[in-house]
Amino acid sequence: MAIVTPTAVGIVPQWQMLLPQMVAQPLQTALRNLNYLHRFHRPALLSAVVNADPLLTRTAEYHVPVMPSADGLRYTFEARFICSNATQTVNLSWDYCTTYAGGATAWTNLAANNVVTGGAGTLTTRTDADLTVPANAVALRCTLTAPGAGTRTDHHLLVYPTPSAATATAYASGFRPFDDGLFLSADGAPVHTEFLNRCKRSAAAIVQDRKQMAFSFVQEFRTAPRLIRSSSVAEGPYPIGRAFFPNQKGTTTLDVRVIAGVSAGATAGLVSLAQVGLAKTAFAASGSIESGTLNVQIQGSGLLAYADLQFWLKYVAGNATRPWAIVAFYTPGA
Amino acid sequence: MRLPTVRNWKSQSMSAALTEDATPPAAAALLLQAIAWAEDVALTPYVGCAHVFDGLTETAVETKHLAVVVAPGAVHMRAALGVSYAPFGVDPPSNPTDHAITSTASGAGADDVIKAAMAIVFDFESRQFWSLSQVVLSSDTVDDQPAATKRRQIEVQTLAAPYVEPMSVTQATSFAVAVSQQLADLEGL
Repeated sequence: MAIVTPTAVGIVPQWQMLLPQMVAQPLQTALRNLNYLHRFHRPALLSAVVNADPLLTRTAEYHVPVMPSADGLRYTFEARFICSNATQTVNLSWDYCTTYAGGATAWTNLAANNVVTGGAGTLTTRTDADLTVPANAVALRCTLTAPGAGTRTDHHLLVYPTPSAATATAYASGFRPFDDGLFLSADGAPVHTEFLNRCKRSAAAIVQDRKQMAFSFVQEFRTAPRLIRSSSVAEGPYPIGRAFFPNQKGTTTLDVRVIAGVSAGATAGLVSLAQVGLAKTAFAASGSIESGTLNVQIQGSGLLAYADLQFWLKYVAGNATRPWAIVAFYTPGA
Repeated sequence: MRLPTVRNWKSQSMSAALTEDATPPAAAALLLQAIAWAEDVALTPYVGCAHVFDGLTETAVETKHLAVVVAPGAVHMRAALGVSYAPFGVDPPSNPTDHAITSTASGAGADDVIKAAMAIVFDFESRQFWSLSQVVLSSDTVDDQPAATKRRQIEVQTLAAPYVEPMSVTQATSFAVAVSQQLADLEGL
């Protein structure tokens, strides 16, 4: 009895697919691929090129809403930044929370490390591997301290699943691993419909459970982030970002999460995410995580199928609207 | 009348009991679907995230470094790059040239830098509008051994498991990449 997890996806050769039999192969390859998927299906839960002031001499905090796996998986965290001076020490920490309350949030630490940078002006990539994010986490925080000398420019935050190999259990996502012992006993267990259905159900469970970040605009969590809206016309759009939805057609529904604030006054409807020329969903700049959906129509076709997305900010005279994180998640099949 | 049976001996188990093969057509259809589900989830590229940021305003932010997770079986990628006016306060170049994209798999030499045409948004009339913005797609030309930096597709590693590909891009206000070519014969993975 063994739950074997291949380190590469098993491709069934064409000759095995011509009038295949209901025997161990090629079904075993497909079932083992489920174990592979559990460990190696790795779409980014968070991918944000942060919109922060360059050349910082202060600590920066980024708060990003997330929709982690129901299975409480391990994730790998990467942060990219550049220090102007060589061999600077920057403390880089990752935290999660299960209830978000802005600056009053109670965070749980995942990792905190002093990172020594390389040469002056060179890119530093810090990887913190295999940190478990519980299913009920609602946001992640990344904090980078100021270097001792010179400046720091933050570039990119990336988080993707890197679970351990599947074990014999029923996962909350609906995934069921495959144990060779079910198949390869000395007597030869019967092939029944459960094996076939498991291929679909477990594969679908994984692809739907691991949300894929399809849009990101993330700024420092502070009262004066790089972009605020406090002048000009009441509401305006910001740069268009094209999200690619490989091989998708028709429509899909994105899960949108927003963290934004306003200096004073009403909060309702100050932040929106839209598909250019089509649907638009408004969110409050409440300081909490605001949730909603955006139905998008997929344009183009094939691998380059896409939707052009754009966020809008509104301000009321005298008040400043501060967007800290506007993100959207794609669920294949949704 | 009975036609000769088309039997692929290669796919047959010569020792299995006949009852293990009771309903070959249904078995074939079901098996192919079962195989396809797991393989398709593994090989379908991940969503190309639309990253929005200020890559125009100051020299220090003109080059952005990032990384993407590449699904198995990918060969090349193309990028969608945005350029915008007003939101970040400074206009893009009045005489647009090219973005510069790098990926580790594309090579580290000077000639390996990938150029991508910049959107032309310079328009006196439309500058009156807040945050005029356009998106362009990088070139579909494949040239993995360029003699000089040129507009071409981004190279990635073709692997049987996902991996992280570091990239950089200049003078954009949004950036996303999509797998544009997959391995033609998956048996080569």
